[in-house]
Amino acid sequence: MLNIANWEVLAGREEPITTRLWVRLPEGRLRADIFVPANPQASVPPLLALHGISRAANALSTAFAPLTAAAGRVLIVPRFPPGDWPVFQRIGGARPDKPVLALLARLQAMGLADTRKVDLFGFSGGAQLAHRFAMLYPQHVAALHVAAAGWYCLPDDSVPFPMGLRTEANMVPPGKPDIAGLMRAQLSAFLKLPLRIYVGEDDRLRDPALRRDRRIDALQGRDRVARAHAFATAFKSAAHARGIVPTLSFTVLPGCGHDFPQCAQVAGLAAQVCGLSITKGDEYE
Amino acid sequence: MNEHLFARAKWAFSTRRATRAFASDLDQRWDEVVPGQLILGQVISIGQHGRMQLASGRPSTLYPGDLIVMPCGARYAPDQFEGVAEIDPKGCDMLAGGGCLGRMMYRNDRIKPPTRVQPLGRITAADGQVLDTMNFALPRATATPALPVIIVLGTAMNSGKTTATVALSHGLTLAGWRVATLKGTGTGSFGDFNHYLDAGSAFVADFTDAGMVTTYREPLARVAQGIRDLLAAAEDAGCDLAVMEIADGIFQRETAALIADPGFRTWASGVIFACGDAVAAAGGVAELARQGVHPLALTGLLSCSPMASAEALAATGVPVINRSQLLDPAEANRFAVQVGAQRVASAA
Repeated sequence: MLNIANWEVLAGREEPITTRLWVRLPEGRLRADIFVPANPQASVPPLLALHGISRAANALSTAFAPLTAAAGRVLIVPRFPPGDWPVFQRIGGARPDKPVLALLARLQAMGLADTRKVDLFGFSGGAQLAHRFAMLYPQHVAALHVAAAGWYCLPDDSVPFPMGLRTEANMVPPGKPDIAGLMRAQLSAFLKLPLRIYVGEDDRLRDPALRRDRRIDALQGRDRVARAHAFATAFKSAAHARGIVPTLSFTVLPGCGHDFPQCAQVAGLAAQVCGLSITKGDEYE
Repeated sequence: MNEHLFARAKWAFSTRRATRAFASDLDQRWDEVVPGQLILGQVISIGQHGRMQLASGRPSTLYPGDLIVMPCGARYAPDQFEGVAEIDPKGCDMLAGGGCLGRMMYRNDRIKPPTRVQPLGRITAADGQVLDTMNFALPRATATPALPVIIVLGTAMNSGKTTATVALSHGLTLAGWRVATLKGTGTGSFGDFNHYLDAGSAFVADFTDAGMVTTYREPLARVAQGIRDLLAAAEDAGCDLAVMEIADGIFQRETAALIADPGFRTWASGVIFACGDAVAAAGGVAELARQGVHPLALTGLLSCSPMASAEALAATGVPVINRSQLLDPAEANRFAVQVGAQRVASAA
């Protein structure tokens, strides 16, 4: 493990570096493993990969690190400690966006990566956070990859937050931010982001980790496949309503359930995120 | 001999860009003094300013007999002095601790008379030219930069402009923007400047970097040129957007002239207005509307009171945002979007 006190020498790096950082904020701590390849390519944004509610960050590192190293891109894999972040998927009462921002700023300041724009990937609960983060801070995202989210915040201001972007009366406590309103303010920029949606072909179980809520069932569907389609449809519709041509793909991962290692090994999910294999899905048109 | 005087002297914050090695001699043609020229003086008596702000960024306690270097300048400060850029050879007034010598015309009843200074001479270079803050200013911008700018205006001094400027700059920085925090008008002082630095802004500058000791009584064209120079420097520093505080209230002469200038609406991408209560909010918003300026938000002392905020919102229709909201990266990010900030990743 690299001694982070030596960060000043890292700018001229020629050897790959793996290091671990902790971000400590009043909102909670965040751990992150950073993989800096040898001869990093300035033309490729770093990949920020967010785990799901199993918090299996190591599985993300295992799947992505060889690919990002080969492509000369930096890989950033945070882990939200469960004690600090019983819920990290949503931005509202909890603010997981803040330590993520702080992490990106730290890496930028250390010269380890240009984090002003990152490719953002999330699986399951990580996909929930990923798309919500991108809705608040689209300027930080080069491309958004969401895989197998349990449910979504739809870019639709006719649907109440957090399922959509309508701010209900008395929804926002005094002194707290109106997250839905802030997302609405950023919506056009969000809809211009390249969006890649992935979901396992067999990810149709209403398992205990899936949010089961009648309103979500009615609005987004009863399983992750249906909900992913609902998100894609809403994204496309919102973009078109604003005169934006969406850059959107939808990929069904054959032979895969709700299992990241399986998605990576069987369907090449990590390779697809890294753009190293031909997307098996169709453009969502 | 003079070199020893220059070396011993306390150089004020407003002279921080000056190259001290250029100081060679002194001249006493006081009838030719103009704002910005560097004056070597000796403290006669301590009044309102018992300390001065050094170029190094720390305050220095003053004693009678201290040698100081400050530029000649005017001062507008309703809670302190109004003064003009004139040097009386028999003794002049320290109009600002950040570095401003002149002649006091009026003072607020609640403060002491000014610290008095014996002027020893205008500082000249080896070629006899009087050193002036303009000699050390940022390069002149030839066009108005395209950098988005959020302007912070207010009803008066102490309405909360600096607090808002600093909080918004910090919130935007947390959101990942490269922020320039600038002071477009006012009197040279390290207080605000240091607050801007503490906010983590990528670039910090004020009108003294554009060569002015104070913008009071400066022609609009020069003030506007100074603002363009600051924005150009911020753009050169790779900033995505700027937050610029404009000193004093919207009725202050230079501030009013800036707002009334048609050019203001071309370079000011958005305005945040700081005020103390709902009546001030209503008056300020109406006055700004008269000039075609519509604030994005109200802030300042008003925002400390939920009841006053509600009254202001009802009276103006303009949302009120408090310090903690400005510090929130998600909230601050909204303003970046509203002024059209764009980020191009250097990796892209």
